Amino acid sequence: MNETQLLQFSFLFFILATISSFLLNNFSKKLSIFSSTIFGIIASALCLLSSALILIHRSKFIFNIPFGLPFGRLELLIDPLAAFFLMLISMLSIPVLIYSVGYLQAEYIEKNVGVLCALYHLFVLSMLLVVCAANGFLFLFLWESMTLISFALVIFDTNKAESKNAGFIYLLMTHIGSAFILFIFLILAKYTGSFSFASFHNIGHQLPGALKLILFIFVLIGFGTKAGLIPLHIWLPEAHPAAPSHISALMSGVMIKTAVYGILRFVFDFLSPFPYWWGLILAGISILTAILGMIYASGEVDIKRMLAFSSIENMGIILLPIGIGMVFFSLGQKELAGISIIAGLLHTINHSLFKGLLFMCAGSVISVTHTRNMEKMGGLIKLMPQTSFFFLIGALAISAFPPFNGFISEWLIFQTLLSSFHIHSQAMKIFSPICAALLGFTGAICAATFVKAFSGIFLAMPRSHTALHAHNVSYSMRLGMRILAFLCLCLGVIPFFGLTLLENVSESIVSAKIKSNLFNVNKLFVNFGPDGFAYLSPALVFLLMTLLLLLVYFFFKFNTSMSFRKEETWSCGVTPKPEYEYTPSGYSQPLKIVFSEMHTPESFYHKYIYLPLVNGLIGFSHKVRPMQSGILQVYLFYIFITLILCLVWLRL
Amino acid sequence: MKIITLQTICLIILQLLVVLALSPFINTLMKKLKAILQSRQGPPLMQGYYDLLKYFHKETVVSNQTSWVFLVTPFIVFTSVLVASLIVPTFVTITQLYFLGGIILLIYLFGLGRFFMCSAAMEPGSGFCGMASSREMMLSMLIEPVMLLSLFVLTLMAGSTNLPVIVSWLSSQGINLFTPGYVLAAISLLIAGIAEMGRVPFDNPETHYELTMIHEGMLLEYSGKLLGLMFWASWIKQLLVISLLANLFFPWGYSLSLHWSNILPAFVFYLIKIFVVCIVVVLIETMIAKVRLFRVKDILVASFVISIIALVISIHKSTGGLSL
Repeated sequence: MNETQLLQFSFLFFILATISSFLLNNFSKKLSIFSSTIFGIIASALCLLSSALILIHRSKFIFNIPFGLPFGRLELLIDPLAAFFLMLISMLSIPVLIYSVGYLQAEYIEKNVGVLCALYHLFVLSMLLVVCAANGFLFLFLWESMTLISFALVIFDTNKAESKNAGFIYLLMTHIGSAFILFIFLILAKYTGSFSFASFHNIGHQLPGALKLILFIFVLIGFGTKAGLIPLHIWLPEAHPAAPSHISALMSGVMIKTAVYGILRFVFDFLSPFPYWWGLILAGISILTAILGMIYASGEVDIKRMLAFSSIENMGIILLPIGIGMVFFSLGQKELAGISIIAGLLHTINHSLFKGLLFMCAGSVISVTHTRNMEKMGGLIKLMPQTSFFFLIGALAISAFPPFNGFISEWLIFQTLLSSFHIHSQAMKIFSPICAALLGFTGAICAATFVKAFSGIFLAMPRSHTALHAHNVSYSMRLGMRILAFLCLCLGVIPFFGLTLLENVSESIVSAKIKSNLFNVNKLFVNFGPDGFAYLSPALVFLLMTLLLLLVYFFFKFNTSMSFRKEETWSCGVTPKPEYEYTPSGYSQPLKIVFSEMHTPESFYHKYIYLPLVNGLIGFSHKVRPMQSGILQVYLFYIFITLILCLVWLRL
Repeated sequence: MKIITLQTICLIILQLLVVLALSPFINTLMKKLKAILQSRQGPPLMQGYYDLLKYFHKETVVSNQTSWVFLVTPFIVFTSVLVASLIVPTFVTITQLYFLGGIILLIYLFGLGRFFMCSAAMEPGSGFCGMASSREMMLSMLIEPVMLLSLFVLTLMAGSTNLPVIVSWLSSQGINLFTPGYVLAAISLLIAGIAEMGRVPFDNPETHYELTMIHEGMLLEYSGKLLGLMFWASWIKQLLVISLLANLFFPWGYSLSLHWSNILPAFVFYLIKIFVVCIVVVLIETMIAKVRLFRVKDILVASFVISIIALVISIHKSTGGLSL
């Protein structure tokens, strides 16, 4: 069986999973979950296998769907870039499915769980197809279906008013994005006469510069909405918390990453060549998104909103090296561009792993405490030891601490930013080290935010009645989290496997092979840049850390007695109570004071960007309204005028 | 490329031993110097070792609210600074440990220790520990960009992110090293270094008033062996920052090989260098008072701006004139 057949089988299994879970819903809910999980895992595993094979062999396939539509053939193109995203989606889908067995039984068994499962598979399938679509019409259709299915998932908890509101904002924002993508296709189709991606390839050579810039801005708005670039992010902190937690993991983990795919495909494939300052614009917006996203996250006490804001930050971190890569690309440094894209894509994988993990942990915590407010948690480490351990791993990985995967990708991003001294652009030489320092800044806020979250949820004393009665979650939920936690550590210690596959992807994007003296990855080392610019040995660092930890521990164990006396915490002579603790909002107070200028509340964007837009639109509608008088004669008059104008235009 | 050689292992052990042995002494030395400047007698120079001995023989009392995180933290903090000590050049700057990682690994290893320390401080549920922890995180996010940017200026000058390579490049420059860009970066690094060590004007390691403590405040609930380990770790971190400053400000006189005839003079020279840095730090500490917590931002932002100026100057210098 070759790669294409595997992929076709995987799509078939997804459809099978959808139908079976939908049909079995009325019969038995448990059976429905079971069949959905089994078929879903088979489908995802097949997809994972096939995409990995495609990446290793660097093959390229084109499927044609025999379907007569006026917009050209419906074709699917699977090149290394598409295969990377297929791999990303199917890789996260497996642990999420395992997790969902327990999660759905705990939370949604009374509801239409089969519908939820069916929607899940349709959602995954639409994401898988959207990265393969090679026709503008098909792409838009799939992009829309991805949005609509995820909208249905966001409002699945229909009894909550906030879900409906969140769903509405989500639908509205993503449709604005879709509209801009539609414009891009229409403009491109006007030039090529076709909607096929193959005809768009390198169309940038023929387009006038001003039009290209407009198209780039449309790409930024269209995909930036999905990616949550500030100020287009407002749907993200509403929609992600409202969705069921395993869906949030998928939305944050992979759905917003389709925007990365879109930007890479449109900018590098269609619009190149482009001027270098486009890259600076993207990088500037990205670093701004990263900083503001993290500052907003630091002030949140709602665990899922906090994670959603942190997703915004991470999208900034992913798009930053891609912007820098655009600069390198247009200045002719294709290899450096390739490495920058590797850095961005590696962070894409890593973010989907640890953010998936963190959302799953959040889901577990919420399912036993029935609150999303971290102020009402606390002390859960004693009641849910494994979940807390996995959350700690996720928190360390997202804060980019060695030896976890986040560190490797952030390290690579730092190095690509610093490698700007190879190029002859003064602006870039000043801009990118400052970006790197600001990246370190977001890393530090991220660490603060996750110390707050970890200690607020799991440490100290329970601060509410519900937290007192928390209990361990089911085995399947823990298994799902364990897989992701293990992957976070694996990719942090031996990033070799991920990086070699990514080299194939970036080579296909920038069409230049990266020389081994510039970027060299083997089992022990990552070596970047000529003349020993930077070395990193994640495996040795991990080995040394473990070795020294054991050494210090055993030195203590054998030399002194390791017995501890347990006593009450000293609280100035009174019995310690949960009220004396530092709460999560208290914890972030110094941050809020220091960044009071930047820490604008959410309403800032509504007040200064969205409300004026909406008001303008409503005002305009009111102005136009008198035309609709409701009198038949007036309408006939309009028709008459139009007819005359048409005739005049035809004569001219 | 063969890297796990006997020489590498010797170097690792030597570096660890020196750092472990020297760090309590340097901390006491700074206390002593400060006492002399304030016309006090100060502790005996061996006080650091006596303290450690005492802590390791005391009973350890742990709050009953705590879990394994609280017990594991001292070990992780200690290990993270030990691994960090292998990256920082001290007196043997042979580039055999270059492969571990550079300045970014160093900063993030410090961050790892801080993450655990701040989490553990939240565990006993005491208000003082929580306050200290939250302030420490606030400080760290101000320090980190300054530290990174000032080191990046040196990185871009030297063309490497690995500290031994940076130091050897700096030393190869001779007296031409002291360009305005370098001096400004060094000033900014000194400010960030003092903040990273948690000394006046950012934090006072000798305070005994819970509301003003930052680093010490986080250790309030630790006792006995665990406290000893935490103190030792923070002294090692202090020594590492001092060594970093000493070697970047005065990048000469280190040993290039592991031969005794080279190592001994280099070690003596290293001691002199860190002694000088200690005097500078203590002088600053004696001359100025601790600033209000929320004014710390102003100093560090100013220092960040100095780094940016250093960056612009050094790039201007290297390419001869600004142009896009």
